[in-house]
Amino acid sequence: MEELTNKETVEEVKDTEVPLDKSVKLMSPTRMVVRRFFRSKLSILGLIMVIGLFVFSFAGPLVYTRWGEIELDESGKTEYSVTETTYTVNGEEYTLRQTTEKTLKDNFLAPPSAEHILGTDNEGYDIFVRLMYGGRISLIVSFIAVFLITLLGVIMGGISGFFGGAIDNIIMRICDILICLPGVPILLIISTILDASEIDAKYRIYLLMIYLTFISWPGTARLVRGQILSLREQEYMVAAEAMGYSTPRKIFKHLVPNVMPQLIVQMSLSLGSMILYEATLSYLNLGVKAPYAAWGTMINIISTNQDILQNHLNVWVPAGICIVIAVLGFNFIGDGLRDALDPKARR
Amino acid sequence: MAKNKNYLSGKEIRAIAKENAKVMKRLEAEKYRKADESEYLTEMRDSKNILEIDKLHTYFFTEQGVVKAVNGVSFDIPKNATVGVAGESGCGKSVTSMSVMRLLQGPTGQIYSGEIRFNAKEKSGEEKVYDIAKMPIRDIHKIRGNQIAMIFQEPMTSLNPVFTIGQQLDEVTFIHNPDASKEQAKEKSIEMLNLVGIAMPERVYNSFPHELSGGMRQRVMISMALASDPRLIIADEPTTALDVTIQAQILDLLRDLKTKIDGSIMLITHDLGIIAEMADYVVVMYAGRVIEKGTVDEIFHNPMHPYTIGLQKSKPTLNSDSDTLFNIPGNVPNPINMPDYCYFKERCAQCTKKCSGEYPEMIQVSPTHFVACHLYDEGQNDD
Amino acid sequence: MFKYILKRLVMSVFILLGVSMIIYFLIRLMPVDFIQDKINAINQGGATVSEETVNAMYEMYGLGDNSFLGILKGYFSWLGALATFDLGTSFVYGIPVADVIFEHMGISFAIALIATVFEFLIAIPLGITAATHQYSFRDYLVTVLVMIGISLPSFFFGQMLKDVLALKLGWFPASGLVNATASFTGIELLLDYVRHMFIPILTIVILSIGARMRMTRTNMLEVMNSDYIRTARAKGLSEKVVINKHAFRNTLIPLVTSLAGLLPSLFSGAIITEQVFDLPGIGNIALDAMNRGDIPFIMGYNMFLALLSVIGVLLADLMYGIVDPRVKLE
Repeated sequence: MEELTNKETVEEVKDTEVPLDKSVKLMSPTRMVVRRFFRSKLSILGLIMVIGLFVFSFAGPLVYTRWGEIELDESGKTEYSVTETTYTVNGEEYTLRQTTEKTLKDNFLAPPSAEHILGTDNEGYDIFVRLMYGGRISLIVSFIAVFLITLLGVIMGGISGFFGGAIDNIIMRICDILICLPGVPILLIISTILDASEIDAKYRIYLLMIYLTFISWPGTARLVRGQILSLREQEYMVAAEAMGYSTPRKIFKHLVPNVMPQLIVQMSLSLGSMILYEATLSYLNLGVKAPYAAWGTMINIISTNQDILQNHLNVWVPAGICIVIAVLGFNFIGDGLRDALDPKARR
Repeated sequence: MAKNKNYLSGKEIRAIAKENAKVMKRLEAEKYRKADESEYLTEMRDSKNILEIDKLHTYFFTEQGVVKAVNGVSFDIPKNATVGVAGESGCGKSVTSMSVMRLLQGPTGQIYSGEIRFNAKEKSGEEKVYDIAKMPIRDIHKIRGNQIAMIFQEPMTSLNPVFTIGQQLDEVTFIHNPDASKEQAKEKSIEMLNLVGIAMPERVYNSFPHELSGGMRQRVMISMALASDPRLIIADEPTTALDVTIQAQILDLLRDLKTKIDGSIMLITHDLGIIAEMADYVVVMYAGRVIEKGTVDEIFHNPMHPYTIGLQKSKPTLNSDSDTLFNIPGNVPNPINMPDYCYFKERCAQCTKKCSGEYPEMIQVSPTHFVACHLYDEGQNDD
Repeated sequence: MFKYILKRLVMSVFILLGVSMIIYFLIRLMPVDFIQDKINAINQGGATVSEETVNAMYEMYGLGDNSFLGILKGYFSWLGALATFDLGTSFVYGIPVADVIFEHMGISFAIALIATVFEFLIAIPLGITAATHQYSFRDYLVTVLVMIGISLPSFFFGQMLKDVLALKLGWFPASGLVNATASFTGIELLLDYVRHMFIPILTIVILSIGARMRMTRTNMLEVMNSDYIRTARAKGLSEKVVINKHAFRNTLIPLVTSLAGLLPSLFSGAIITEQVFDLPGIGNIALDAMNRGDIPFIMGYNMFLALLSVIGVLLADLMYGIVDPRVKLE
């Protein structure tokens, strides 16, 4: 009797109130990741840097149309050269100063001015505008490369982990081989091949990056394969199999949420390294070639011209800063994402 | 973002983060401060006790809100006694022990308030009472290891994989006695290994942890705890990770040791069987609070809190006539933003209207028996 | 153990075969007249590639027959020569490729070795401080600085250092390995080397600290959260001993392993840095060879690099078995 009345009281109470374990508000998983990402000031900084560069490179040339990428400033330039000759006539010294005036067609190596915000380079191209076009190349090229690498990596890793056995063995051995290929020298060879085949200077960098993807996918493939193998080991997968569910479907259903965070982190970090790759190739005059602009190409000139290295910082330093901003931005974002997506994060 | 009533809004999250950062900063500063000993010297309430935990609040400042893992826990550990702390997983028993050892993972885990009074015996024989909760972390070596030792739940991962057992045992001797020679330390370590019943102490001394079985490792952990002659050993689920036969051996060992070291044991476990076998006193915890405490006889023969009764019913016994195991319905509530009424209310079959009121006070039913439940309120009206 | 090494060695041979095949086919993708052009250019430039050398190389590489079978035949004839440790003769230098490699390897090795030592000496303490003070100002500062280091393009940073330290301030020579106008001997010569190598080494160290430091930090954080560190603290050890003995010894495992993996790459030369400072290291020589179409050298150099990285992977695995008592190689 006693117990019965008590139970009724419980019902009453429950109707009026939210049950205890439901009254607790939690953070949604998405919001948790977003929050963790934005808590780090460095990720925000990285995001600003990358977005800034995107706007600068893609919207910039539309807004600032004063000069084009390969438009020479033909306003001319007068160069004065002074020659001094010393004569001794009747024991007295005379100095003869001869000034030669030379008028050149292109206004090259102009200092920064209202006309040329960052001046012109040794050919007479506007540096500021070339920075924008160079940014386009770098960003597009690295996005394409990272996308292709991830795609190829996911496919190969997927096949490998999925079918196992001989196929897995073959793909993994190919990975071993590709990982042992020396990266930069191989690209140098490929670049030389492209030189020989006389492909349009504008497109060779894209071809080069496609070659790059062919030797860079093993990292992603190993990641995906490892994830599939560990999923296979999971007890619920065995249970699913025992109950007659198709394993492939299960694997793909669980694979995506498991491997996505790591893939995203890897992609944002490799975006940074792709930009560095592209810049290095262009610096070695193997990537984007003159007259087209790339950040690396714009620095290339100082490897042969010490006058520019020392006295015309406006020609090469801005391009270097752009590269650093881009790479640093992607690295900050990647790092922030890694912390945000890490389930073991302590704070 | 999904619109879900149970999810926090961005504004709420920011408010939590701001508040947490403020409190955490204050507590961290307190933890790392330099302080004179007089600041944390105190007196025991009862000189028969070795440890008195008084209204301990240990909080975790997470981004979801403050988790009050230990929310006003008070109990005593008398000298030469074994106190069992029982409760479901997540009830705050381990956090209580971590608070006593000051091993909480900062900056999120912090002792928020309360006192942990410990009666320490210096080498000179002089007795001093420290308030562990107020000790700055730099002075904690005065009690950690040499006055209170701890045995952990996971023997498999609790030993450093790159050092031999010998190296790890000798270390304890050196902390205690920095002037000891290598030979002396080894002698003592071997002695300790013998004490915990390891058959070939010389060989174990030179092995790496991964070469030993789980039971052996736990013995090593126990010998490590003993090597410093502690006054109190905290054993946090010492047998959970081991299989049943080994469990019995380890428990026997612990029981023998208590008489050998002439100290006290705080035994944390979810297994009431172990408590019945080992403990003199029992503390039952639920959702960060003590709901009932008393001698082992009182708790097992006269349990009063509905939760304690439920716990005992859910224990499997051989001579029971029912085929199904009793289980307490529902789950332990999430310890964020706990409302001020009995936390067990929703799982309780004997709930009354009063239970929606404020959290029940501790009621003394005998000199040693306390319970926190409205069923036993003085002047309980019978309607 | 022995069986394991043997198995790995056999596998390495297969990997090297695969690598050599890829490199060989890539090189054969270059049109032959292109190669002829390059050789002509070399000859005009003053260096002499005798007709005989070129013919011998053509023979060895089977150039000219661009059918699939022809390429295959060329590959095997190159492989056959390799079996007798003959990498062919460099077009540019007119001496055996192996000799060119060994001649220029020393300088690259010296630079890389010194840089690696400094890299580890600086990066490990930084990584440990950052980890033990996670989320503190110190952690952020170290992280930002090393991230900037990782993000700097070597050619840009190298040129900047050269501009400031060498050209503007004049503290160090801008390029080369020795002072051409002075003839130093003994200790003076050594000092001259040091002065010339200072900026290149500084460049490499700053660029490489970042990765190593982050590796240390991540490992250290993982170790600091482990149960055995809690045990060490519970024993009553001071925080200093906990970090410097118990945590550090565990963090060391991946670091030492990575060191073994680095060993071979010490010989491979830093292409860009050597180019920027015009150092006669193996990397710079290879870059030059690539620009001039010195096929035997390119082939030899790439195989050399591949061999080094295979050895590196193997060494790292073996090292793991030595440093970590839990790992048994099978």
